[in-house]
Amino acid sequence: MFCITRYCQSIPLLALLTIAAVAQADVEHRFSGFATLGLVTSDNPKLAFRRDISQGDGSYDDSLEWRTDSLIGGQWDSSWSSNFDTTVQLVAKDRHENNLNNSVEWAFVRYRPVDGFDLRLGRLGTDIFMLSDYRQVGYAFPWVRPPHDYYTLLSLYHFDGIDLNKRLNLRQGTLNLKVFYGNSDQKFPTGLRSSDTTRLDFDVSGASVVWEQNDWKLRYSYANVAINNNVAQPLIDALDAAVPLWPEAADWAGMTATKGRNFSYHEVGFGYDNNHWWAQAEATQLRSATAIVPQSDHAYLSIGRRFEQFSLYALGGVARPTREATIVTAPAGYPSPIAEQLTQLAAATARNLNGVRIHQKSLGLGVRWDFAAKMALKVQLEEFRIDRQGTNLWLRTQSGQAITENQKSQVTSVSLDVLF
Amino acid sequence: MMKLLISIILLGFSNLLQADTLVIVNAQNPISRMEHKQVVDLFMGRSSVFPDRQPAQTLDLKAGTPVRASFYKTLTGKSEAQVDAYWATLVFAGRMSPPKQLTDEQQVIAEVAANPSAIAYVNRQPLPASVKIVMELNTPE
Repeated sequence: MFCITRYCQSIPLLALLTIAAVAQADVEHRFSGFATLGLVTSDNPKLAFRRDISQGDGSYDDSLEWRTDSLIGGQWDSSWSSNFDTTVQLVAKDRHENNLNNSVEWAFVRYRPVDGFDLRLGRLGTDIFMLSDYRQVGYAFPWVRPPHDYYTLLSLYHFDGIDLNKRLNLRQGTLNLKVFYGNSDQKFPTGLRSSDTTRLDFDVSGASVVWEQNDWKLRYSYANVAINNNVAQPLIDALDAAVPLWPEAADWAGMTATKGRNFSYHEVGFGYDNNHWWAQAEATQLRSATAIVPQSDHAYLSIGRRFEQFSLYALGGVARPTREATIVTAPAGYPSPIAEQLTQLAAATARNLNGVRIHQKSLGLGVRWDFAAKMALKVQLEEFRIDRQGTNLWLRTQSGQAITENQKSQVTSVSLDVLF
Repeated sequence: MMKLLISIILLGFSNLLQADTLVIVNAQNPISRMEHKQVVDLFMGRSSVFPDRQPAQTLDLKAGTPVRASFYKTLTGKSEAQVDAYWATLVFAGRMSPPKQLTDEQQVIAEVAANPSAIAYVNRQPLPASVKIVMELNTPE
């Protein structure tokens, strides 16, 4: 598995080289793109609002942020023969670690021996949720951004690997079956405007089934993520070192470890659209064998109604932990300064294990106005209620201070989405 | 005489009422008729082949062209904005290539006449012998 992992890093390059080699016949190129200019403001002073956990900054205390939702993406599609295509997509946006490698969202070769059967190799989208593959294309969905309670944590955008898709056009509808496997490496910020990061190196594998029939769409997906590194190695080392004085530290070190541990998603999704009314809902159960990845349930439901070029919608979501908060108590009876050191270590362990918890719900209303071809303007108002022990989708504005009370925030967003 | 006149007028009206859109392919294409769902599957990216499994190249007009709006509305009930949003989910997810886009109907007809795997839509109009109609869409009202 690990050697595959290493090869996967060079797959996008390999893919392009292969293509350059076969480039001779009737080749067609196509350039297209998408962009969003968004403004968001959130009124809670203690918690900064972000679109996903890869962002290290956001709006708080009524500040106006344009980087949260604004982005621009360009795509280059080439058809090299009737069976081979390539796609490269670059997205420029606010990222915690912004470089060319991270900006390449997709870079893959697609082999289609017959209609309905696709094999893709390279950098691919993680098809775990309904919007996974196009969550950055604002024009493609009704809201300003993918539902916060659901999509914020799930920020695995792409992986380097392979997927296989089989589409069956049946009399009543269309069935899509997909399996995928690959590796990814991602860095997450640990605080507001902090340069500290947590790096997660993982192998992802999974499958999805999507059924589309007339106005209906149903899907189920399963994904397993195997972590290849220890996210909080210094803490594990400190806990291991403390074992002679504090035997329980071994258990805490075990819970903090991520290397060789897995987490998984079970997702169900549903969509309905009769061109006047539409509804969409998804629910995910995240199961985790490490305390660093918060075991939790996520769900949202949105209902909308179109009036000519306007669409009005309501949106509600919830995220709740499915594991109790951890209480870490340092052993008593040691003299100073050992007692203080053990207390600090216990506090750091509790912060790490509980800091990742997600417990919040939201309700929102919005309107989308398709005022010109391939241009949409959206306004969205939301209210979030965040449990004091579940603020991880947000960034604490004062990292030293614990959140001792449940929080509330009103988030107002405006966005202009275009396709080109 | 009067009756004849009336029926001529009515006939004229009924033709006007059916501001039809025609789905056309190259005259050499062995397909002679297509079902509604087959055309929907092709233009909504759920298939890239004709019913006889031969590769199909869908042609599209630029956004904002009146016949484009009426074609998709009649075929799928969706507005142009909905169709564009739907295609954005396929294209930017890297799942399907969008139809080839052309600027006007004369270009479309010329491309269908020249390309044996092309399929396109145009307003009802006199067509050259090098293309043939595989489906007619009657725009309501």
